[in-house]
Amino acid sequence: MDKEKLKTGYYRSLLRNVVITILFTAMIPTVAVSVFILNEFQSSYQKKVYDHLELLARKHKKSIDMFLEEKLMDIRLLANANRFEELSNTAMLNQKFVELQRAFERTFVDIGVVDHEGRQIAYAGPYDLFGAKYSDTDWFKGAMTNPYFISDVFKGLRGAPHFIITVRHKHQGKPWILRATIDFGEFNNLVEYLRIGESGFAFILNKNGDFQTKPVSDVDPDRLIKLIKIDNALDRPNTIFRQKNHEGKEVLYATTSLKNGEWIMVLQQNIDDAFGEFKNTQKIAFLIILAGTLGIIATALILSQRLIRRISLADEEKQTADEEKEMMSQQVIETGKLASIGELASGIAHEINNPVAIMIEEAGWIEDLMEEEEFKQSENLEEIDRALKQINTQGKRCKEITHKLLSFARKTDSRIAEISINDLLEEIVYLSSQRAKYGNTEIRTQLEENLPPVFASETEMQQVFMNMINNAIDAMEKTGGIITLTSKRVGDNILVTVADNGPGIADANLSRIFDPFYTTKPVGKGTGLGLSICYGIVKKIGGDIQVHSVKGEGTTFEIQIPQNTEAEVPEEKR
Amino acid sequence: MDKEKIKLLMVDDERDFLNSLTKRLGKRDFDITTSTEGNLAIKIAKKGRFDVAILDMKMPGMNGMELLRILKQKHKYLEIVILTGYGGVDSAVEAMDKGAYSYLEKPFDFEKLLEVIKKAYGARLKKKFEYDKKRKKEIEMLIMGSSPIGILRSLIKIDDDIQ
Repeated sequence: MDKEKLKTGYYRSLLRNVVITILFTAMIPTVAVSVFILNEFQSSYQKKVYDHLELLARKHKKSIDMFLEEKLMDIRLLANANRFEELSNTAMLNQKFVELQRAFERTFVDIGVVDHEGRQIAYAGPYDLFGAKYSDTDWFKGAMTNPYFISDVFKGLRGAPHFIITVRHKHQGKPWILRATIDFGEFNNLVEYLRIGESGFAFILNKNGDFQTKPVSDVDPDRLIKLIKIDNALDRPNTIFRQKNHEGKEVLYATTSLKNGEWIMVLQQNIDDAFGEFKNTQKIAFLIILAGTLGIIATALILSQRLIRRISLADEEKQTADEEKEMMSQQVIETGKLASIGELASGIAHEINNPVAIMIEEAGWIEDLMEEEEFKQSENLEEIDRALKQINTQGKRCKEITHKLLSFARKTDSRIAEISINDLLEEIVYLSSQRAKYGNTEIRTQLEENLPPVFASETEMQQVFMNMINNAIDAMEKTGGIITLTSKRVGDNILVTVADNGPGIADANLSRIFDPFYTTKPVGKGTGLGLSICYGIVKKIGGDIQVHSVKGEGTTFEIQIPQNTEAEVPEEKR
Repeated sequence: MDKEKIKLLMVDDERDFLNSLTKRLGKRDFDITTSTEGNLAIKIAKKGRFDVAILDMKMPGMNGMELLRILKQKHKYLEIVILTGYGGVDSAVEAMDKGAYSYLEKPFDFEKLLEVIKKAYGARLKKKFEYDKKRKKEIEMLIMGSSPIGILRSLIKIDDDIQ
């Protein structure tokens, strides 16, 4: 019972430990590597995205700057190439304008000349702006104070978004401006059709957050400008930062300054969009890790269970093997004990012989002395005579006992010789008589006369019958009983039966009693080897042992010994 | 003259056994000398002329077999009976090979012992007689053709031989 409990408790904790160890050992590197790689991947992906945006920004900045430069160049050329008088002539201006338009298509909406007071003194274009006053406008101020000037986008007098490029010259000491309107549309196109990813786009703001390109609805320019200012992006030509937009979505912004920092081009892209691929990869990676983890857990559990089961089986086997080994060594010890007892017995027998011999001699001497005349008259003569004879008899009896003991204790002598079964049986009965008396057992014999001799080892056959009788005596220890030995001739064999009226043997055990180490005796009382050896001995000479038993009634062993088994006699001994 | 008593030499390590046997045998006209030890027995045998020796096989110190061998070597015409324990057939056979006349198993019947001693003595007499006859013939031959000194020497030699 205890073994079972111990088994489950012990093995359960063993299993738990193994599983945990495996999980730790497998998971930690897996997770560590995955995390590391994912991190690296994320940072390099981010770098890629940022770089890409930055590149785009730079590219477009270049093209826009170039655009503006070009336009400015054209106007400058125009201003440099012609004199104030020519340009301020409307008809001339118109001519120039047409030329310009022819060369550059729709880029220039109109051109005009504005004097130092802010009055447009010449105009060529679709609008009726001759004589328009610009003195209060921002751009005029800027135009007057700078040799070249590009204005912000504004609606102005015409009501449509546009911006102006001006060139300032002097005429007769007074400044005058050649002014050109740039088509907003074309400018806008430079930026509006910019597409980044799936949701990314670009626009241009001025420092105050005013759209310079077509306003985009889901951009809060004020907030954005604030963010840009916070990031000090205004001071740097290119920046990238990520922030939540006014809707709470995370957005990636790339800013780049235009027009010498007066304008800011913003490229923006939703983080989801920008990192979409990465997020996908991340998801897949997680799935893989999850699947892997589940796999590891499953494997750990299953493998460990199998392992623990194997271990418990092996432990069991080992325990069984140990027990068997224990039993075996016990057998060996017992056999050794038997052997040394045998030696002891023969030593004692030899020792006893001497005093017994002396006793007999002395008795004989007394007998001799009794022959003297003086003793012949003694009244107790008869009695003395009887007593002396008794001493002699008993002495002879001692001799016989020691002889029998010595012959039994002799080392196993397997020499096959001609033996008389009946003599053997009688000797054994004699030897067992003392033991039987103590065990309340009577031994009866019914031996058929004139049985032919058999060829067998005397000591071995002694062992066989001795063993059976001892077993019967042991079985009937508590209740006593009768053991009946019979011998008779049956065909070519001699049949010896050892029958007792003891408790009998249960059917379940009956089939196993000849198995080695099988015993129902308590530990230490029997080795279980007896009957298996007997079986072997009888079989060796070509005989057979059978057992019949009825529980409560008794047991009978039938030993069949073939006569004259010449074939079994070993070659060397004859 | 008295009937010549058979001269016995008995060797056994048990003093009590020797005493008891000596008394019994003494009553039956034997001349008995005993020893409990092998080397002593050899010395004794040298001094006296024994007819039959009875040796116990199992003795401490020099064992019976060894004693048997030495005695037989020194005294060709001494007949030896050995006493063995039960089941010592092997040693009995070996002793016979070494020249013992017969063996008895201890403990033995007294009568059997008497029988064997007598038989051994008979055997010794026979051998002696044969030898005597031979020697007589030789002496006759010698006397026929030798000097008185030579005869004397031969006589002395004969005497030695008969030990």
